[in-house]
Amino acid sequence: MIVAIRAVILYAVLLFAMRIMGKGDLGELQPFDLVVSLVLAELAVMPMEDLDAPLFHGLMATSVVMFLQCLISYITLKSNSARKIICGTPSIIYDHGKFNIKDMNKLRININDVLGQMRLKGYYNFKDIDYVIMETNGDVSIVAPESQTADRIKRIPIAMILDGKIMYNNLEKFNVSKEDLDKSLKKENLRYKDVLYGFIDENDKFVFYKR
Amino acid sequence: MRMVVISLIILLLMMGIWAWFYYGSVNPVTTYYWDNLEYLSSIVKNEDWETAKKDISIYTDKWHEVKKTWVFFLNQRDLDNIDSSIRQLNIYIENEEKILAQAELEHLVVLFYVIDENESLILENIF
Repeated sequence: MIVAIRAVILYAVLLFAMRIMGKGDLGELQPFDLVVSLVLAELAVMPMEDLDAPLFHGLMATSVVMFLQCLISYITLKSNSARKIICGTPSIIYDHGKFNIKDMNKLRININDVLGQMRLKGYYNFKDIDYVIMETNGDVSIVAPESQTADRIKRIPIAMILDGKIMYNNLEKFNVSKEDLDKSLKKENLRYKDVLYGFIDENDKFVFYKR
Repeated sequence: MRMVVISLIILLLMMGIWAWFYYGSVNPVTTYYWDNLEYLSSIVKNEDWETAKKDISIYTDKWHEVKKTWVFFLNQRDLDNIDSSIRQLNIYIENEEKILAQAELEHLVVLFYVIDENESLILENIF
């Protein structure tokens, strides 16, 4: 019973803290905000589980975290340089046919992650987009000249080379010969390891994006 | 800015409560017990059992009063240890067990010392 009463009190405190910190939508959280939310949850669980620990310890720790979070939010709102340090800056990882490998490595994302995000947003071909931007909250924005819907695409592009490696499964599955792939690469004077993303488009044409 | 101010007020309130608790209760109470338990130890050493019984009764009553506030701020286990030690001390003094009473008095002094040490704002406690 004591646990239940403590849980109710801590729930109310957490609810109040989250409201004060202005956390409405978890999907919009910065990575730092997410960590703070997890820390708050952990702080609430400790006195909830350990009946020997006084509630005051949990309340004190919660109020410190709540104040620091409000302060940091206020500073990042007012200062650009503080925002850069705390939240980071968006990174352009694809810009008109060119990949920003340096930023991709820094963000530890690979070409598969980018392709997955593209598909989630209804794009299947780099031809259709101008920019891929990794936002500071970890979301990916895609800038396209005009909206491209899946209905207009005859077939999604099939990856043939990912990060310099041939996708033999796809070659076999879609009846693409390795000789044709080699020929296309040779025509563009490329080696496998030079290709970040190579695919066959809806017109059965090979398209390669260099590193 | 409003939220920063609200959260700052809450934090200052919590810190104020802690400061009131530590400087207004923990520090004076532990000092009181250190001084008086040392005195009680000398009484027990001299086997003045009537005075010892009267004194331990006063200290026990005071402890029950203090505990009502401390329970909101301190770990229950620490308070239980003091409770148990005071109860044992009462029995030893009641039965006029000199050595056991002296040993328990030392134990009780350490328990109060631990409480004060754990709550004080020192570098060792932070790290």
